[in-house]
Amino acid sequence: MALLEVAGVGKRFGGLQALRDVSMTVNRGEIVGLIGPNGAGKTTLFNCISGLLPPTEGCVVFDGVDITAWPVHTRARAGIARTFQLVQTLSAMTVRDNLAVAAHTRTAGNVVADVLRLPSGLRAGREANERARVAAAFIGIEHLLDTIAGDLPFGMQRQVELARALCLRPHLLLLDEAASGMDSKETAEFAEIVMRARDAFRMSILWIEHDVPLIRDVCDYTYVLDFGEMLAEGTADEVTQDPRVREAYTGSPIEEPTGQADTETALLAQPKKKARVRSGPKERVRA
Amino acid sequence: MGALAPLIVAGIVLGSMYALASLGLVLIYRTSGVVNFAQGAMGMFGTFVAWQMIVQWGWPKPIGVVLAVAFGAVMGYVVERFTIRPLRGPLPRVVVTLGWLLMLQAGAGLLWGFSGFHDQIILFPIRGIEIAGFAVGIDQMILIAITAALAGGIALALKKTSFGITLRAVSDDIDSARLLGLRATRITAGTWMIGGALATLAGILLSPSQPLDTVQMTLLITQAYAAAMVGRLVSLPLTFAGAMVLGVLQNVVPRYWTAIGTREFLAVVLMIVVLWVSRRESLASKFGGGWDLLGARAAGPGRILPWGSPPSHAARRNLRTAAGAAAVAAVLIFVAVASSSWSTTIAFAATFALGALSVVILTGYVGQVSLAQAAFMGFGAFVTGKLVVQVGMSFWIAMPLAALATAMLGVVVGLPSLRARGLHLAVVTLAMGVAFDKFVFNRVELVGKGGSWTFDRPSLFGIDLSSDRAWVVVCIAFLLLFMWGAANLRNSKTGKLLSAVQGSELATSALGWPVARLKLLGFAVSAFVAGCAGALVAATFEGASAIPFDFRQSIALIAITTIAGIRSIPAVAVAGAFRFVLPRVLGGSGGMDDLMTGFVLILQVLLLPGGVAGAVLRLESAFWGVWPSRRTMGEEAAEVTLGAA
Repeated sequence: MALLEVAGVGKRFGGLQALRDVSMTVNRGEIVGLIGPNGAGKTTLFNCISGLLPPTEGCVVFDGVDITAWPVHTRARAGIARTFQLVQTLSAMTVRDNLAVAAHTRTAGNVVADVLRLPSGLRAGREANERARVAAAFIGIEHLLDTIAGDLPFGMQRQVELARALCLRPHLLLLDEAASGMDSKETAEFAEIVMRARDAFRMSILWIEHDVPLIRDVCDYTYVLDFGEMLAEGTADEVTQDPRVREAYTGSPIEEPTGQADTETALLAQPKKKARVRSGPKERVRA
Repeated sequence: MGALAPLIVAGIVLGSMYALASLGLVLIYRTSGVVNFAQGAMGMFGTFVAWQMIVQWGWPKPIGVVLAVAFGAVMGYVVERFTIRPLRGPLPRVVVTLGWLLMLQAGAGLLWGFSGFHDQIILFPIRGIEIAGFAVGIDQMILIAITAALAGGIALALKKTSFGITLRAVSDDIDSARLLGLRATRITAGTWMIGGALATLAGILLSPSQPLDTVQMTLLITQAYAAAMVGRLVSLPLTFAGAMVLGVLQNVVPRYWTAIGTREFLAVVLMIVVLWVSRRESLASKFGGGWDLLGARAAGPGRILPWGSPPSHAARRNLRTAAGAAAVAAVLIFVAVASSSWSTTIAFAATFALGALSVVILTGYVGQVSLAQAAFMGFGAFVTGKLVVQVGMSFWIAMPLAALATAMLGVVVGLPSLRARGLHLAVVTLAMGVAFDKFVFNRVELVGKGGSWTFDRPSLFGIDLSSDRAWVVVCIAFLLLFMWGAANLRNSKTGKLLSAVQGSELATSALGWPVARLKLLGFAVSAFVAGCAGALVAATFEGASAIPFDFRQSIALIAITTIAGIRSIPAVAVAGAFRFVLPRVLGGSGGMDDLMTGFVLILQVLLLPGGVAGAVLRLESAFWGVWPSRRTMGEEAAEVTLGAA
């Protein structure tokens, strides 16, 4: 049985159909890529999976249970962790406290114990700090635990978000452009950490990324979303060869495929959401 | 129906005044992103200027009105130019308008007397003419006509004139408007001038039908805001409709249900209904959860607190503990040697500090703004009084019970925080605080027949605590106990979760925490502390009455806590001293304290981010030769608040 099944999900914002009949599955232990031009609905799909937005149609099944109606925090506790495209570190708090907020989902303790410094409250604090330390050490940011998270550069904050997600002990990790803005060396390191985390924590990962070579390197399976609809699926090589995918990225069908290198250039070029109506980028790609 | 018609007409007249005040509110909100809390106070002050010229000096009415409205415009300009424009982001700006509210209100009180009877400004003949079987006042018709003309004129001006088009561009996106070369600052200043003028005009037109006093008109803000909320602070036609509905309701309902404070109660009801039917704000909304008082958020938890500093800084912590102990010892010695009236002053300062602590917990930790804290204190005081007097309970049992009851009340008052954030929450809670002041604290079931419960200070284990010198020790002991508890809370699981809500509601929920429940928990804990503070105030006075808990106390509480440092626990002692000790040292008369509070608050927001606690932290850092990170000092406050804009 697949870990995550998205079945016929649709999402409408007023007159805009952001997602239409989207279905996908993530099996246990897989790293699944989700690509598509800007505005294709990738983050909206993430929000439907993590519970930030209720889908207007369809359902989300996690570990055999229909979780479509569950609120965000319940899904998080059930094992769906995520990072955000715009990092959401708790910027005034230390890295340790950022991680502890997640780790505390597994500790006991209550307000009265906390206010009166009862042993149970102190124990909860120690446990959470220890879990935070372990997660930070795994990612390699243990030396930053006492730093205020908002003082860190964004690349580091992404690592904090990843460590924080691990503190939830998730079964499924949703990464929303977690490697964007990193150079190729940083990206490679980050991918290495993610794969190591997948193995150590036995998670599945669903990864939104624009960096097609990265997706090709790490993902077992890839979905392509365009204009809110699932355009293609398969291995990374299969989908990048798919003429429909290339049309979505370049804005017109390419009559004569000129080999893989060109496809890659096309995919690497900044995807244009409205490429269909603009002539500029299209010609640049052809040239 | 025939009996209702005059009431409806009177309601439309009242609604017209609300409409004038709230149109200014909406225009200012659209350009500055600020709910101008001083809107009512500006109108009040302008009205008194008119009163001075027309009634006192006997100037011709048209000249007086024109000059007063011009004065209102100048007032709006001054507020915008010198205290709004230098600030970035909505929240510091809102705090500044709170400062103006306090200053204008206290200033008008000092100039023209705080209450008491002022002759009304009668502009138009109050003669009735008969239309369709019932009498309508000529003045009423004129008022409605003026409002309709002004509202229509503004709507037309927004659509057709270049000023209006520029204004709409600026309100849409001020940065883009600037990049397009539009003179955004001029437009913003213009809306503040219009706002000041409209508020003054509303006040003057309203004065024949309202008691002309400094408090009543300041409260016009809650009515105007309730109306503006119907239009979500953006739509002028809906705001206009909201004003009319509110005015009519406030005139018609009392016919079937007479109770003191119905008007304020109805304003709150309207707000709640609007919040209820309005779309629930998505978690993914671009607004942050918090209330960043110029870097208040940036001065992270555990940075300012003696107890919360990282354990590696043992020397630093020891020094802080020593300084705290020395301060407590100094206060106790002072109490022993000074006259016993000083004991009372310090007891009041300690209870105020406890109230400030409730603000630190709710606003400093959780980032939720409540302008109903004095209502919590009053509720705690009255419940304590009722239990002691009517049930015959011991004070020591009544106080925690009352605090628990207040905590439950806190959850109820906190419910709007699930729908409204930041400044909107501030206004809703202000309206609730006012409703408590005017409505709940006039219910005999709660406050007793004479509006107060009288009881003696309690004794403990046979020790008589009734003397002022003994009682002040009790108050200080409670303050220290609660400060200890608050420090524990901050460093604990609960404290971190509450701070997480302020940091990012999105992240908090994605990390497995129900944000709504955490917010309500914050309200409950804060209200518990405030309820205890109220019980202590009542015991200090030897009786519970509504006077020490009026809505201005709520504003003073948040203002002074901000001045002292809204995230700092030791700063609450500074807050208490500021409110009660400093005025006594300076020897100011009644009203001076609010004037000073407002003035210092504005200066602080403009000049001293992080408040007194921030300044102390800077000095301390210089002493140890380490500078905290930029973010800790709140120098990035502009960036942070920009994100919330």
